[in-house]
Amino acid sequence: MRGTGRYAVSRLLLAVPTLFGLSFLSFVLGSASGDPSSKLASAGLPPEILPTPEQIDAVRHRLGFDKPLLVQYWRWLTKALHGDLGRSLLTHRGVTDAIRDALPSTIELALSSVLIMVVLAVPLALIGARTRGRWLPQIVRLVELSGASIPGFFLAYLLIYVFAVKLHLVPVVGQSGWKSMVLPAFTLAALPTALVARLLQSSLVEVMREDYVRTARGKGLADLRIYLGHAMRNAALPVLTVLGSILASLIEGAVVVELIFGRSGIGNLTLESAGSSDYPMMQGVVLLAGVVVVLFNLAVDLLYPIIDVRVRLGARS
Amino acid sequence: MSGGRRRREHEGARPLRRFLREPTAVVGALLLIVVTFPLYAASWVAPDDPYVVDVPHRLAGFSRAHPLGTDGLGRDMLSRMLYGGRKSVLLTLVVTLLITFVGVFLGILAGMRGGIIDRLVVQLVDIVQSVPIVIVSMVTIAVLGAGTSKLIFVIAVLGWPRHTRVVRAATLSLRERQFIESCRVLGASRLRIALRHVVPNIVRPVVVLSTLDVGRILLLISTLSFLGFGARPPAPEWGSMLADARRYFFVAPRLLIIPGVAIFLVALGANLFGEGLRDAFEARTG
Repeated sequence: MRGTGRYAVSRLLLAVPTLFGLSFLSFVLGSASGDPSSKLASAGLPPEILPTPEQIDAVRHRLGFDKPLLVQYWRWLTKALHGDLGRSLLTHRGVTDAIRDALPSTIELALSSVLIMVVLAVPLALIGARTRGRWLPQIVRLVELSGASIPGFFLAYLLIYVFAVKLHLVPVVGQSGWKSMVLPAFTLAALPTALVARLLQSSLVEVMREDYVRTARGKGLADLRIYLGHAMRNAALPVLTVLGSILASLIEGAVVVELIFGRSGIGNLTLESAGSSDYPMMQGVVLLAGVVVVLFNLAVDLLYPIIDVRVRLGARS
Repeated sequence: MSGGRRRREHEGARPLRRFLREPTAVVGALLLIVVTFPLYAASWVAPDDPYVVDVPHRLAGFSRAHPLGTDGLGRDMLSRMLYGGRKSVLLTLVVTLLITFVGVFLGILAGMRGGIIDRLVVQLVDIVQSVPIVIVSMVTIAVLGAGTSKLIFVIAVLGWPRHTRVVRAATLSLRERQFIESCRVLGASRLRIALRHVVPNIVRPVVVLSTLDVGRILLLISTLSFLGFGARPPAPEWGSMLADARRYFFVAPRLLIIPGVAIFLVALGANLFGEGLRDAFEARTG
């Protein structure tokens, strides 16, 4: 147990510089969009009147843009830690409020995609790992790699064309009821499903060579029971390690999916803020996306030795 | 010496044969050749100028003059596909090469030097890998302004960590091997060891990784173009062509389907080819 504790602490400490680096990156990206003081100073004025240099300087001073970059960063960070990410230049709403409003819709979408991913990836991996012969494994591989190769925006339109335009099974766009969730969630699930299925499949093949599987076979257990009862649990462990990048791909995919299906959410917020150089909002979404992924990876790393007792922690240090 | 060379050739031939036995790998290679070959010859093959607007013949269907029809401004779809594809594929290759270069360099540097440099590189990998690349690319391009050179720059800056991880791990394990140890004893410099002994031993995993990355980068570039952060119209590029075609979705869905299928086929080809390469290489050692 002492080993576990030490591992947990060192892993936690490792996340600190990552979070700092991430926040600095978010800040620099936003502030590199240039000094918005002149734009802001002319905001309240009629378009034909340009703000005087003194007015611009006043705004600059008020917002702290005349300070050195690191001082600005520190100010931004301490505010951010208190949940204040500034105000959107576009809507003048608080960035934190806008994110809080957009988040539930994206979480709902992401969770639906994860559900679809699990439902699809597990059988695919099972079929891929179990079947012998020349063609079936190749077909499974083709299906999985197709999922990894199809651009999300193209898949979205294909699905809309077939299921909404031709078959009228679901609405084309919008955000009302579970039916409007099917196509977005499926679009978003394609890439993660492919990744998870490939990984689970190869890890299943490995696990099935282990002694305890042979023992289970010797006991006369049915093949499927061995797979689901014994092998799957251990084969799923490597998948845990890629959950962070799956999460990142869900956040990225949400940009395209929310745009095409006319949904509100974090993706849409990102697209809007990047399209209009709304720097506080850009800083906010980049920070949010990064922090979520870092914390998620941290949680997985901390849980891993608890789930898989075979991980020998002493060897890691 | 000649015996050694012959043996190396022999070892090289076996992965090739193994590769040829995998149907999906061969399909991938064929896909890449068949789909991308006409792109390189775009200026000879294209029936028309991809920029010439011909409004009276807009949204025309398949015909002899326009094998893939015309787009919303009456421009020849086949020509735009060829020139656009050349741009998409070329951008992808340039970015993939850059990523490979940066990733391999940092990986070997971290693995060979160890210490503080290694820790810095690992930390950097951790940071860059935790940001969703599409989102940071969008924001960065919003800051820098759109344009293909900026697109290349941004993705190259963000895309290298996977290479670095693999190369660093391989370098670390190579460093412990006897032959590297003996080189060091003989007084070979670090640079010499890296170039003469580490690089040749990591070529295969790097080739596999880069091939698989081609698919990923192509999707990334076309996604960014689709969102309006990549190639700017009127220049044809598969992702931005698809974005352009959105408004004709109900009138002429083929304008959307044609570039979509093209991106899909090239990415699929690269992925199948890459996995085939990996299997062919791995089976030799395992």
